[in-house]
Amino acid sequence: MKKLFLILAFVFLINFVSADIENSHGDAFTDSGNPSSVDGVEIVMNRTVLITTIQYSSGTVAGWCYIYNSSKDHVKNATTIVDHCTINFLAEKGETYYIMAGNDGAQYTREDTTAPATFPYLAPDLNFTDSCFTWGLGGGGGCGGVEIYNIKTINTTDAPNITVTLTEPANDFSTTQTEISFLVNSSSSYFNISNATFNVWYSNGTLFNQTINTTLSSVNSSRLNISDFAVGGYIWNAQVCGKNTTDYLCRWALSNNTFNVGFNLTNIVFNTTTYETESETFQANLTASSTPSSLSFLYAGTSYDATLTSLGGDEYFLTSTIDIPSLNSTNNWSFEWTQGGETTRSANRTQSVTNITFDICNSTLTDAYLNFTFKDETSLASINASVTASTFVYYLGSGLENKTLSFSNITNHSSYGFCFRNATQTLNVNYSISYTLSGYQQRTFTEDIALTNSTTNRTLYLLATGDGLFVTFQVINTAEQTISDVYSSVNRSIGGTSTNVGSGYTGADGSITFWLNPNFPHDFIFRAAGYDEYTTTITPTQSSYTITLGGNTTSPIQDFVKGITYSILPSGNYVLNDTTIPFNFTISTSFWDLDEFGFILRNSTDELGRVNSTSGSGGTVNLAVDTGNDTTIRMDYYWIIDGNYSNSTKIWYVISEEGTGWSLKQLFTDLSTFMTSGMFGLDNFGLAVITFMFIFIFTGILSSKYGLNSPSAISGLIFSLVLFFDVGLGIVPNPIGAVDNFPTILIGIVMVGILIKEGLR
Amino acid sequence: MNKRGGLFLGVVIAVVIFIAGVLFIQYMKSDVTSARVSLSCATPDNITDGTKLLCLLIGGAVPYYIIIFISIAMGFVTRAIT
Repeated sequence: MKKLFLILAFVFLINFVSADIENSHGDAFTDSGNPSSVDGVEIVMNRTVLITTIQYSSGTVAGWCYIYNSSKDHVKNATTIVDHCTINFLAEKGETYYIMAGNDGAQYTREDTTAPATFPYLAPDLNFTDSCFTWGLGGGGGCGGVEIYNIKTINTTDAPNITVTLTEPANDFSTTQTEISFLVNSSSSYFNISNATFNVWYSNGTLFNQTINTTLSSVNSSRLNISDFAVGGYIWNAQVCGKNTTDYLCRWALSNNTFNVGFNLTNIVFNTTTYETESETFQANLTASSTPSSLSFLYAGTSYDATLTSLGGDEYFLTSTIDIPSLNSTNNWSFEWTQGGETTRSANRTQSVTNITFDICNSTLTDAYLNFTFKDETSLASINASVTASTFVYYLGSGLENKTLSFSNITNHSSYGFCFRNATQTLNVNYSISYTLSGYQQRTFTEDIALTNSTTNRTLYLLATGDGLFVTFQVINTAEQTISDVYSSVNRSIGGTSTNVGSGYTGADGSITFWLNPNFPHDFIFRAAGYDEYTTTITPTQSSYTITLGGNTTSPIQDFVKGITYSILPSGNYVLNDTTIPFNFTISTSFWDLDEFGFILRNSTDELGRVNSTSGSGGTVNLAVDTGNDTTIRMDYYWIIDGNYSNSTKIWYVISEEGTGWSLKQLFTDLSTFMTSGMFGLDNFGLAVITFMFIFIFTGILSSKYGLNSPSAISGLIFSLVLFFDVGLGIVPNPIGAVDNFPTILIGIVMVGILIKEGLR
Repeated sequence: MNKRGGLFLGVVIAVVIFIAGVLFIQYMKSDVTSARVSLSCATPDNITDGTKLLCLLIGGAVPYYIIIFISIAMGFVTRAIT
C-alpha cells in the first residue's frame, strides 16, 4: 500500500512538472497553467519577444502549430515536423496567447456540429473547457479523437524592434514661425517602415495635433509640416509603424522632444537635485516676441510667485525662489506667463528631491546633531529623565516648508540624541522639549537653533519637588492688556555659568509658569514682536509676577513717496478702441531703494496683463494692450519699498475715433502727440505756462469786455476753462499724482468756497 | 417789419448761412486729409517742428470753419434781437 502511494505520488509529481512549459529565453512569459499543457498552453507575455519555435512531444504524423490571442482569434500557424514547428510570431508584452500543436486537422471530428470539421478552429469554436473536447496526449482522445501534442518548450528571441529618432525640430528648439517641419527617422532590420503618427501636445499635456503620415520622405524617414501654432511651449513625439509579410509593430521614440513658439528660454539655472524644505532659486532668460506679463512659477503642480524683469528690448529675466515641498522624489517645474493674450508655459524640467529625516538616533540614523543630557540643579549630579513631550519643527530653507517630529519617551534615559540624515547643510530646528523624573517637577525648554553635524549638546536641569516653587509670570502691555506668544526665558548661575532652567511662550492669558529655586536670583528675558525686550533679575519668592512690556510698539510714519517721481503713458484720459496701445510706467527714486515696481492693466471686468521690475533705482515697465471694445482701461501702478506697498490708479476711457478725424479732438490729439515727441523745445512746463496764460488772458478779456466783476462768475469761468483743459484735453500737468485731475478738483473747491461766501454775504 | 418779423428773418438768414457753410465742409475734409498725409502728420518723430505747427493749423481747419459760420449766424440772430 505504501509503495502504491509512493508510485502515485511520483506519477503525480511527474505530471505536475510536465505541466510547466520551458522557456528557452528566460522569463519572456508566464505559463498560466490554464488549460494544462496537455490541451495546449495559455501564456501571458512578460515582455515583447519573437516566438521562434514550439517544441512538443513527438507526434505520430506531421501537423500544425497554432497561436490564438486573448480573444481566441487565430493569429498565426505553421506546419510542424516531428517534434517542433518554426512559427516566428511577434508576441506583445502583456498579451495572453493560447498555443497548440497537433496532427493534421483533417481527421478531426467533433460532436458539436457547429464547429468546423478541420483545423484551424476559429473563435469562438476554440473552447478549451469543452468537456467533450478533451484533447489527449500523443493519441486520439475525447469525442473527436483529435491528437494534440504535449508542448514542452517555447523558444523565443529578443523581439525585432523599430528604432525611432526625432530629428527635427531639435529638442528645446525655439521659433517665431507658426509653421514647423517635423522629421522623424527610423530603422529596423525586420520591418519595412510603413507610416508615422506625429503627435504634438501643449506643454500642459493637452493634444494639439495628431497626424498620420503614410508618405515617406525617404527610406525610413517621414516629414510632416504642421501649421497654426500659437505662442507657447509644445511637446512632440512620433509613433512609427513597420510591417513585413506576417508581422506589424509600432514604436515611439524613447523620449519626447520639446519646442517653443514665440519665445526662447535660455540660461536656465537651477539645481537638478535638492532636499525637502531647501530654499531653491530657479532662473532663466526669456526672449519673447511680444511683451510677457503675469509671470508665475509652477512647481509640482503648485503655482508660486515669480519675478519678471525687463533686460531691454525683447529680453526678460525670470526668477523665482521657493522652499521645496515634501511631495515627490521628482518634481516638474516650469514658468508660466501671458504673452500676446495667450497663457504660455515653458517646457517641464525635473528636479530630484531627496527627503530629509530628523529623528531620535538609532542604528540607521547615526549622525547626532543635537544631544540632551540631564542634571540635578541642586547637586549638579547627572540624572536620567524621561521626555514627556517634544516637538521639533525642522527645515533647511526659510521655514515656509518644514517637517515636524513629535517625540516622547516615558522611560528614563541619561541622554537623548537626535540625528539628521540625507543632508550636510545647516539644519534649522525650532523645538520645545518637556522632561521630568520621579521626585522632580517637569520643566520645558524651548529653543530656535541652527544645527550642523558638529553635535550641539544641551544639558537640561531638573529641580527636586522639595527644592522649588511654581512661579507664574503674566506679561501685559502698558494698556494692561495681556500679551500672548511672548518668548520667556529664565537663566540661573550654576557653577559660575549662566544656565537656562526654563523657557517657553506665554499662553493666550499672557502667562507662563516656571519651577524655580527661590534661594537664587534668576535672570529673566521677555521678548515679543513690537515691544522692547524686557530683562530683569528676580529671586523668585512669590508665586506670581507681572511683567509690563512697553516701548515703541509702532513704527514711525515713513513717507514712501519721498523722492519718488513717476510718469505714465499714454498721457490724457482717452485711448482709441481696437488699437494696440503701449502703456508704460516710469518711476525714479532719489531717496528710497525700490524692492519692486510695476502695474496691472484691467478693463471693466478682467485683468489684461501685468508687468513689474525689481530695479532698485527705478526705470520703465511697458505693456502693450489691445483696447478692443473695452469701455475703460485701468492701470493699477505700484511700487514696493521695504515691503511697504504704495499704489494708485489711472483710468483711460476707450473711445471710438470714427468721425473724429476733422474735429477739435484731432487738433488736441495732435497737440498731445507732438508734445510727447517734442515741438519747439516745448515741454509740459511750457505747455502749463501757455495754458495758464490762456486762461488768465481769456478770463481778463471777458471780464473787461463784459464787465464780469463778480468773484463767483470769474471763478466759475476759470473752473470751466481748467475743467476743459484738464479733464477734457488732459494737457494740464498734475503735481499730485495720487489724485487724478487734482487741478480741476482744487479750482472746484475754491469756486465752491467763493460761492458759499457770496451766498452768506 | 415789426420786431418779431425781424427776429424771424434773422433766424432764417442765420440758419441758411449755417447750412450753406456746413455743406462746404465735405469739400474741405478730403483736402485736410490729403494735406495731413502729405505732411506726414501721423509720424511726428519724422517731421520738423514747423511741420508740426502746420499740422496743428490744418487739423483745426474744419472746426475753425464751423466756428466762423456759427459766429456769422449768431451775429445775424443777435442783430435781429437788438
